[in-house]
Amino acid sequence: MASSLLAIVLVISSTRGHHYVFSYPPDPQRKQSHKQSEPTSSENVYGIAWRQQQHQQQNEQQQQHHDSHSQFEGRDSIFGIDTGFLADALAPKSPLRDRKFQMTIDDLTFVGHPISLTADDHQQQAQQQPSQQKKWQSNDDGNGHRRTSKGSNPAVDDSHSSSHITQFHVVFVISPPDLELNNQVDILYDHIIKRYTTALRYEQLRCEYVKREADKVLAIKEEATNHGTPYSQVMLSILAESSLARDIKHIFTSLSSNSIAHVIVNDFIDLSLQLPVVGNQQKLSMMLQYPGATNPVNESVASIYVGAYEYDKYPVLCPYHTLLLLEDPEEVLKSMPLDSNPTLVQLVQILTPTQNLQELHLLLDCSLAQIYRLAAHLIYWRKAKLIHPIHARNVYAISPVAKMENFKELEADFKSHVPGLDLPTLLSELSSTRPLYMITPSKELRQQYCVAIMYLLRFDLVIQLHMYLVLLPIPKEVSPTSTSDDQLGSSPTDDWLKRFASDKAPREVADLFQRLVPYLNGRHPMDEIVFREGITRKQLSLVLKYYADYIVTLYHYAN
Amino acid sequence: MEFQGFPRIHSIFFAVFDNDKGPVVQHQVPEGTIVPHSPETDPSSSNGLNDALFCTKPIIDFEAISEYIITKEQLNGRLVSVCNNNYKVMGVPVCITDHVRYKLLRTKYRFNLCFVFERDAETSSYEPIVQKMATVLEVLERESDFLTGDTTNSGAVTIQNVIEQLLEDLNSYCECQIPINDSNTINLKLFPTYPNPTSVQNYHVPVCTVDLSSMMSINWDITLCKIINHINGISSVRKIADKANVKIEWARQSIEHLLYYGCIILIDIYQFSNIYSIKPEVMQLLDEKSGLQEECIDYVTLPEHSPPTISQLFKLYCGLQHGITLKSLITNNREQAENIDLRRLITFGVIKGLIYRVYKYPMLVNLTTAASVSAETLPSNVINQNTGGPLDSQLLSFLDGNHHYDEICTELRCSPKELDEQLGYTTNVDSVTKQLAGLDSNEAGDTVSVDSRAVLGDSINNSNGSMDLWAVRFVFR
Repeated sequence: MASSLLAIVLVISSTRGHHYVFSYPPDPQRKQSHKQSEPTSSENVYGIAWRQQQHQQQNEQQQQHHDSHSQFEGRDSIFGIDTGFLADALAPKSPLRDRKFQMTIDDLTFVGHPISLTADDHQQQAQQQPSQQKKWQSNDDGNGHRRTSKGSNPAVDDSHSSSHITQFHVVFVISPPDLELNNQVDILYDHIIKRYTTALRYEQLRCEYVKREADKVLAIKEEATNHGTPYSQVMLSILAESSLARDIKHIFTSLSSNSIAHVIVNDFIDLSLQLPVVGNQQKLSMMLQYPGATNPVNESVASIYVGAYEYDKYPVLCPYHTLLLLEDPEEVLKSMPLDSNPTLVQLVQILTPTQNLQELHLLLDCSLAQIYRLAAHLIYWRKAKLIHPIHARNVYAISPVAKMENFKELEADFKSHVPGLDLPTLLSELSSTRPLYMITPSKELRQQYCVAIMYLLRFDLVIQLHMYLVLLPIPKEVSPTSTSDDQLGSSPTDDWLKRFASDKAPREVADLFQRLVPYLNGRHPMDEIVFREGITRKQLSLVLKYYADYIVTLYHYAN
Repeated sequence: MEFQGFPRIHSIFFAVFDNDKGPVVQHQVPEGTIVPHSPETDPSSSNGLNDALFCTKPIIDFEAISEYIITKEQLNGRLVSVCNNNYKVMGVPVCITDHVRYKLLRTKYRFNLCFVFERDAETSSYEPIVQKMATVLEVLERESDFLTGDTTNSGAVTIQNVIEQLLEDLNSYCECQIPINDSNTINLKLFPTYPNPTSVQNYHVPVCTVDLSSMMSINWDITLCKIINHINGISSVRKIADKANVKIEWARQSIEHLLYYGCIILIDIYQFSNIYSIKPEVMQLLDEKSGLQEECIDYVTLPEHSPPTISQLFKLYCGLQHGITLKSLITNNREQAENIDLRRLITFGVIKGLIYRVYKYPMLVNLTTAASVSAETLPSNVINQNTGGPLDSQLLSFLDGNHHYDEICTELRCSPKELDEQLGYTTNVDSVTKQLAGLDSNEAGDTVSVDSRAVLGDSINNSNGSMDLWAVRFVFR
């Protein structure tokens, strides 16, 4: 998603016509897919060949264009499209206003929510205008440079501030891969466009914010045009002058780097924007699918057990889980507003990934449900992730989807967090299904290894391999009686199970075994079994010892 | 992603620029779906979509979108789509300039043949169709005044006939053939759009999901024909290219084609030194209703052997863990695996998503600074502390931790065993690394490094500069 966002454009309409205010980046470029640059390009060979060729031609044209006007690229045209034309196209007629706007030109899709400022708003504006204009001028007084330049060119000032604004439109330009368009448009619209536009509309109605900022930008641009200033330089002064431009830049860079954008619109409306990761990320199993494999079984099974459900892809919180902060606690606290929930602040302060949520809720003296809510909040805003408490008896392995491309950087960062260990060696030690304490060279180093694992979990470099138990179907010859339902898959009668259990082990163990049977279906990690049944790991291993022939232990990541 | 079928066309209309009225809709099917101004009944009302299926109610307010249909110069010849509340209109605006023929039209004839879909329809497959229709109509108009000519001549095909047939045939048969005149026929066919395939690597092993040789015809690409007989689920792309005697790039490209159309699945190279790990999906094997059990037993039983039980297979799969090679799995389960084709067991698990391969990535580490090496700062002459011998310079560039054994072995045409020897991988390498792990923290480690430095003392002096100690680490992921 992040990589298909190409630009954010602001367009306004006033009584004097449609204006292309600016775009960020000032001179956006199409993303060159790395495949295309390869000599053995194979992009053109599939069903979309004609389109690809067309894009290439356009890119070439654009390239030529670019060479001749590079200084003003982005001012007069973006993506080879005239900005004056775009201003018209992105200012739709009233039936398409105040709703989701979507237009595609070849590979570029423009998504936004044009806001029309109705007659009622005009009156409001008219009432507010005198005071606003005064403020605007007083602002200007503080900036001697601007004032003098404006004074020399009073017509510019006049032409922009005296007209009514009738419409404004923040447009996001995306170029997603085939078949992903609808999904990306929806996510972008729901989580970013709607919210940011609503905030801007509020500020425009309250104090003409959008108009003021647009006027500023247009004035700077006009002045620069008269002086022949290169556009890159113009953009710098636009960003220096206009908080709206800075916000749009911030939103663009945050979304491009797949992080959270925090803006305070006009110093008044606090807004956190992100394309949520929770609920949209692919499951590990899907990422590990081999190219070409469709795996129909997978889907049918999922629909049987989980059902098609809105929060299907959201993690399930359990008392035996814990939170791992993805940033240092000080950083997390810093990013929270001053009036944030005191329990949340407390939680962030006392959080350690070795204590589970059950223990934390006792420490914090609030309900478990409340802890869940806070945990969900932290996870949604990417401050924490859900893990099982880190412990030396857990098994960790390197994540099959670990990103190691920038290994050098990673290594240096690791060194600063865990000075005693070196990363390549640690990673090479996590090569087998053994608990962490067996890998640690000495007891003294155990704490350090746990810290290292914490770091690696944070960056998805390692995964925990959970232990699951499966009770195999018991063959006939071992069955104490030869009743018809001697296959465990078809849930044997209690009586039968009892006899089977007591045949194999002393009574206490047999009783415990019977209690555990519902968990022996490969869907409950050991942590859960121990937590729910309130037993010790020793007791569990005793059961495993006596029924070793019938219980299989599995180690794999949690789905 | 599975193909979901083609979206339904709700309407097709033909718009032109009229000198007096501006953009107007000249023809449309079904009649009444496109209205010049806002219809009295709001098309966005909740039952708008349902009614549209019978095409009695207006669905598009042409006035609102006309600027995207008959557009300025800028968009001519480009695929433009625009959405209203419930529908997406897709077209290619065309403008033909001819001072003589279009004298009455201010020398320009502007038109656009537009297709209407539901807003959320996945319309990728229609894009080539819309584009082609624009080109065809433009050519027909240039050649024979098809669009502006006299339509009173009964019997001649008109644009109204064309769009009626387009809507009917594309919705019903996904293809259509419209004879226009003696020399022109419009032929259209919808093709499903699949996501672009991942790029094929030399070390990938293609497995057929259909019987390719039976589908092959004389008209197929010559490289494809050559390689198809060598796709056996065992040979890597490199090996296939070698055996078929074709260029490796062409082989890769052919395989990508097959992958795009879902004829093959790419898996890893089967070797006894491989390590696999189970996925949570392995539990599906115990689901009696999925049909996976019979399929698996059928696939993995050795010929003329009694079929294994599902418990037996399940246990074998669960034996696949980090740190356990196939070789040791076989040695530990010799009796269990007697009647089983292990290669097929692994292939089945991989294809069905029950297990995944854990690759071995060698990584060159500077023991002196205890840091990895990036590709840019590679030293030229490296003594590998694992073996005490020098490392092949060809090999060095692969040791940045981003290349796994399959890749290196395929590129350098060597066996994993040879690579193990060269890099100094031993099965008890764990114990060696364990000592070295505490290098900077415990004293024993320090003495180790001091010792080895002492041994190499001479060479340090000779090469007038700092001589670093190197070793290869193995990361499994």
